[in-house]
Amino acid sequence: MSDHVSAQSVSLRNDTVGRQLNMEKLTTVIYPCITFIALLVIWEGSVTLFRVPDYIFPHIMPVLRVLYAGYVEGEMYPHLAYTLKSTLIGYSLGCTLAIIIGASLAESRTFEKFVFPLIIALQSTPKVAVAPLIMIWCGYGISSKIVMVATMCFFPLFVNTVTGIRQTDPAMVNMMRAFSAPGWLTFYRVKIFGAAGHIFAGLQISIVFALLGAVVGEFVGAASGLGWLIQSAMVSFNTPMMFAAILSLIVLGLVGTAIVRFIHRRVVFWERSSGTTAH
Amino acid sequence: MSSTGSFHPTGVSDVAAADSAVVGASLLPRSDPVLKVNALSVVYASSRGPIKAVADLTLSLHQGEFVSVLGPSGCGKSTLLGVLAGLQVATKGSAAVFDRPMMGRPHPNVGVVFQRPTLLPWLSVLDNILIPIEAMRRRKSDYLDRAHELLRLVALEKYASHYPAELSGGMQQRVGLARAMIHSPGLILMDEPFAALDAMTRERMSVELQEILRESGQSVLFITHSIPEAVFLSDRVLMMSASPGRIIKDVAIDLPRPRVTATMAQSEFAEICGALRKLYIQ
Repeated sequence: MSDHVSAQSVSLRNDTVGRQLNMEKLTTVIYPCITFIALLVIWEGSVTLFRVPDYIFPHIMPVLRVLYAGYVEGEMYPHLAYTLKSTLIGYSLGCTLAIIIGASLAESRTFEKFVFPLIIALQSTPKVAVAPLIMIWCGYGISSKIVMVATMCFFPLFVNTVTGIRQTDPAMVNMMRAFSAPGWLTFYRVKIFGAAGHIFAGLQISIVFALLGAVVGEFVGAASGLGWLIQSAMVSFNTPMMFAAILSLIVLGLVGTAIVRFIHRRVVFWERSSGTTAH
Repeated sequence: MSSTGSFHPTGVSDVAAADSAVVGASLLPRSDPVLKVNALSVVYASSRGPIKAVADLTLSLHQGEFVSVLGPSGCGKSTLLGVLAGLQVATKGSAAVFDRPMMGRPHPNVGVVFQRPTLLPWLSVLDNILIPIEAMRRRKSDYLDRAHELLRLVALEKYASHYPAELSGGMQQRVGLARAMIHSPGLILMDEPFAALDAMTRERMSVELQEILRESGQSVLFITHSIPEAVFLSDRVLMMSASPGRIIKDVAIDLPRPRVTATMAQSEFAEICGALRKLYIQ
């Protein structure tokens, strides 16, 4: 599991200077655009060339038409709003619990002994398999989707929080001890900040997991949402609609990740300059 | 504020009295040692059986003295400091700071400077200096003047609101020194504070440290593996043997103060260093 998305690999880019930086910036924008355009050309070309029927693989135009009807004429907004709502509430819930439980577990050996085996067992459970149970317990309304999202994004962040706090520099902890600092102060002044990089990396990973949870929840039973849209379109072989909904989910994931990354850079400001620190 | 401490009669071995004299202790005339280590042994458990880090070590440090403990890497110097800082517990023997036996709890009248600056990167220089105040749950606002005064002393008055990453290694270590002095401790423990710095910065820091201490008058136990550094700074140099560490020689350094960069070029200085180096090799 790629739990440790290192935040430093991102910040390394900031150290390059001048023209090299501009060139670097330009190519990082242009090259992926070229890949993207090539992909579109291959898509449209092969669908036309091999006369693939629309219900198997649509042309670009029908997808754009659905997107237009969805977002300009507004047919898709209720679904987008539904998925967004369950994702945001579930994400906040799951992430809050992950940080609180993760921090408590990292700090208290006793608590760890009590709950660690349980958490390992839960972590090994394929969360999707539990979705039908959650439907029975929480109903077919939005609450089951929220629980599903929270369950999905809990573990990546939980693991990162525990790792982040456990990796606190022992020299820092010793320093605090030598000045008679009580444990809570060391936690508040040193450990939480030291773990911030890991926690933000976890928050970033959890965005994708949250969307996954929302879609699975809607697959199992819902009357609205992007996931539900995909499933109901499947019944009528409406592939352009499926493409449009999937694209919407991709955009949601990208925007969410970008927001978390932005906040990460703002909050964990000391990691950006860590490259220049003389040790 | 350092003059407000109550008079502390010499010879009091009571823990509470030693604690209450925290603030003024550095100014008091006292004949009994600030630091007394008697037949101290520290043994670590390891998978290959017990390892003796420090064996039967005895030393004392008096008011206002600068004493260096000089020894090769791995001779137990840092273990000794760990016991005196209250981070480690002695296996045998005793260590007492201001007459309070050290039992794995830090003494409030002690400041520690570590090998690495160990500044918190998310706090400004000023907030870093105030960490010990926060740790002792005193009011930070009462110590702001003192913090700025210390920043002036370590020549960083312009950097109060900077973050550690914006400072050079030498500057960071000076912040570490200011932090160790914020609560006006009677004793400062320094664990190879300049070891991570380049040779030029290191020499300059030695001169500056001497200047700073001339103004503050604190007692210092300084741990190092550099002979010139020990000779330049100290009133006494204690040579330690390789593991298990014990004191093999107590050398008084009579070079006149203030010592300056030129002192290091004097023949007396070289002679003392040479004599110590001979001991080192044995």
